[in-house]
Amino acid sequence: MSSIRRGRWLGKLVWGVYLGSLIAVLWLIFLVLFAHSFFEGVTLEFPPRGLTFDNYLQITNQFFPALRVSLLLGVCAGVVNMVLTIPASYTLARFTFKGQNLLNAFFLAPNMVPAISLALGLLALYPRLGMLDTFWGLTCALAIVTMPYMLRPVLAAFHDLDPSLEEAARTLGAGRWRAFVLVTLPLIGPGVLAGLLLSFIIGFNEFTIIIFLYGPKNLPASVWLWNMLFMYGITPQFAAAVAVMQLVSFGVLFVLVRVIGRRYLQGVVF
Amino acid sequence: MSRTTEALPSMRTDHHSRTRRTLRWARIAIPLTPMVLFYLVFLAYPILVLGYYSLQVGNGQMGLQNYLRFFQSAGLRRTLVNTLTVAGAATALDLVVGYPVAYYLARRRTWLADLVQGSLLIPLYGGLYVAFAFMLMLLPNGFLNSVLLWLHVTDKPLSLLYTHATLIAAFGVYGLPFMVYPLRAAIQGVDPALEEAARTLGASGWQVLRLILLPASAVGIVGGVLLNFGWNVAIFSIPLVLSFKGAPFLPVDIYFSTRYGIRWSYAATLSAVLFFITFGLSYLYMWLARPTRSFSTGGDE
Repeated sequence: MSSIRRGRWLGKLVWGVYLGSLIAVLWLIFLVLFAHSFFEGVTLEFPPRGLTFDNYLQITNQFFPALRVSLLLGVCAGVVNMVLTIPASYTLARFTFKGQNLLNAFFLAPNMVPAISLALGLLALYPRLGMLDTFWGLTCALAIVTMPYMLRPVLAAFHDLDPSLEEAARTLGAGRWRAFVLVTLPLIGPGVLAGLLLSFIIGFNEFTIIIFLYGPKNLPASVWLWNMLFMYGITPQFAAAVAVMQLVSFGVLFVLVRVIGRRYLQGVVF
Repeated sequence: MSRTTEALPSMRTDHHSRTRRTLRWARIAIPLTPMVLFYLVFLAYPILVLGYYSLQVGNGQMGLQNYLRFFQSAGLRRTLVNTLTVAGAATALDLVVGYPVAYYLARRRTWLADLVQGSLLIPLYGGLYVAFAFMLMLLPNGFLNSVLLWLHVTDKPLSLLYTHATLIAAFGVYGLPFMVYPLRAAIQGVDPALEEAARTLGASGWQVLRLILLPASAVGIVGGVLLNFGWNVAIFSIPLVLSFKGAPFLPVDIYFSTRYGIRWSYAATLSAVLFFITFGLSYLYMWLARPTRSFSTGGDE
């Protein structure tokens, strides 16, 4: 009896140590740069000469315009996704028709295409459309890569939804449009919000596609970071900029996990 | 016929089934049209243009010469082999590290499981940050070397940064969620009663793993490996920051071939090769995931 209990206790310890070290490694990615952002000086020194908050103040002038571009891009890509995805997933969830599976796979295809290949293809396309170095050009590129992250939770929400609710509204005299806006839309709300937040996080941090399509007029934060690293190497100011990016992403992620819950995070990654 | 169409009051008196069919068709097609158009312009067309450029061999002629040149050039072959090796090693690392994690997430509902699941989202959005963090840790004057010097473990800084091991570790950290999620779904599809039965009959933990869990989740393992490897091959931001002279990568090569006067056919051929690898493997994953529903959606509902 006691040996079984000891075995169970040992098992818990092994799991705890294993998963604990995994969590530590994952959090280190965040914490290392965060810690460094408070170091005094302009080069990497460890242990630090002192701790300061000045690095954050020093980067405001150059970094915040780039941050603004990235924030706007993340939001706009999410909105484009939402507008396109809601009618499409409503149809995919409610009707069965020929070629539905194929269409579904097509809509999830951006996840199956290497970002770098898509980036090069868009680089070939954009000059013809006059979209190179434009805000909407970048938005559309981000929208297409983040679309699956919107589609999955919204589709899940529509599948969870009982169609008889909308039918009841129709029977009680509501028009098709009215029933959709007043009954269906509020019920799929959490799925849509999850999709918006996911699109935002991915779009906000996206680098691979943007670096092919950005220009001096629209310089997003991720590219700004790379340019800084390329020119000056890792400095406390650079770390401060990274920390700001990560804090924004973390905040959104926290809202996503805490408020929206696990249901709509199912299959975030396939 | 769907319920919605039949419930429409105005349709009940309509005896022309053709009108009805047209109406149903329109009701399906119209909401889908904007999305499909968007995908055609921003996904299908760029990829087709890419394919077209990769087939151009000069003087307006088309052919497969670019691809032949790709596989004949020793330099590009080295790049391809290096890319595939690092991606493959990272996949192997993720499989070994990720399987127990996936098992825990599939079987337990504890606060620790929630914490792990939340933490696994950290590398999801930023390959760039993973690369930055590794750089900051491993530079000659970085955190790790400073601590080692301070503790007098070494006399002079170790050159850890520009090595294959670092690249593989960084790829591994970034790709871990893409391994754990498919594996978790696969393990959720295995009935826990099988494990308990084997345990009751006296099997050791190792025997349960070897004789029950691994065979029963084999399809999921193959799927996870394919998916993870397909993604690893195409990672751009990590090798951009961490790669060095002896470790060339296809995505980085593509990027630099567009910097100073674009060599379209060259860059497009490389991108097409990458596309075939990643798309092919992802497609294979989807195909493997298709027959058993519980595998693709997870058994949570």
